[in-house]
Amino acid sequence: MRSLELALDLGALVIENGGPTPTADRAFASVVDGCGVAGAFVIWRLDTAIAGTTAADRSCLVRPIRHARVNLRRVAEISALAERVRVGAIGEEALEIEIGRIERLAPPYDRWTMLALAACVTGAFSLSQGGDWTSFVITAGAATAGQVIGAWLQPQKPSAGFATFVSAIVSATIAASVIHLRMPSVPPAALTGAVVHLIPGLPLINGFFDFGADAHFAIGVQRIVSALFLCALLAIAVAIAVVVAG
Amino acid sequence: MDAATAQSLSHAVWSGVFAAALAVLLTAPARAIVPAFFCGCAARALRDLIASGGVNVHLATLVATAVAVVIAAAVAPRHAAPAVVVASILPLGAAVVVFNAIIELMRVSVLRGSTRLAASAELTADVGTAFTMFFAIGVGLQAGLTIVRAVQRRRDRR
Repeated sequence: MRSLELALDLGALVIENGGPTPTADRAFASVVDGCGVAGAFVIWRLDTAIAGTTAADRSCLVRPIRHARVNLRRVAEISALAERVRVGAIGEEALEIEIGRIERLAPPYDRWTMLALAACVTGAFSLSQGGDWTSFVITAGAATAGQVIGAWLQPQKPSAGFATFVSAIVSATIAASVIHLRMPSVPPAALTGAVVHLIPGLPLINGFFDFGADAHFAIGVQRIVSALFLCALLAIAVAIAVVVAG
Repeated sequence: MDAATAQSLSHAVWSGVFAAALAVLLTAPARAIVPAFFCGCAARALRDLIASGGVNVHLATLVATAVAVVIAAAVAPRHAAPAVVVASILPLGAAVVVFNAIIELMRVSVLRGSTRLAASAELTADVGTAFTMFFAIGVGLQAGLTIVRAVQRRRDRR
């Protein structure tokens, strides 16, 4: 049962860090194969993971899925670790220690890099949509302000919806206000660009991929619905900013 | 090189820059950045190329999305492939159209008289475009994934 618990922990970590469900499945299967657990099964949900075996006692393990931030570095480490367990290069005790180490891994890029890149993402988006350099500056500045507010909110551990909405309101209001001063830019590209880095693209894509696989249909629907909810919040924030800026 | 081609190329390059930066923002590993740039560039260039040939822009988006999935699966690290795909397809246009539709939806509720009628017609067109674009991207994703799975199955059989 301990092996099953560790396999479930490893798979759930993939989901918590924004990894695809098939990767979580592979991590789970590799650990149960490597530890010799027969007849194991797992069901992934966005809020819970359930694992069990078809053995006589038919008991199940339920593990809540926490909402961590996207960290694909952890997902890569989990894939490598699961493979080592599958080929028997690592035992149960070492696996537990390794899981703890992976849980503590920081994102691969520091806060300042992320801030600069958020500005670059939004600026490049506005240029790719036909905007000019003025819209680049507007979106980059607005996105930076939104990111700073988002980082300031982070220690309070707000819900994803609240944090996204507040960051979007700040970014979009700044962008809409500057556009209102009749700066020469392409308004839709600049406005959308200001919040484009907040679009929950990864859950949406993972959801679409899960949606196409029968085994992951339920988590696919959950991922798509939660991502669409965040998209609707972003759009409402942009609409409010347009009204506020006149 | 004519002005339209130069503009298309510029949009493709900026889509590539966007894709590479967004991949980093999504914590993709360093070795996924160059594939993300080329994937974003190729998807946008392909869509513009197909659309400039007189093909429906939604069909062009569908094909470009499918190609982005195939390229991402081929060149990006496995766990980072979804991040590369999302970074590549966001500049294909759905985001701006969807946001425009929602802004129009909120605007139309406070208008009166003939301006409301004109705004309603505009809203209907925006919602139609947003839906079709979203649908095209969804179908393109599934088409790309089907191709990737078929290739993987064939490789596994060997």
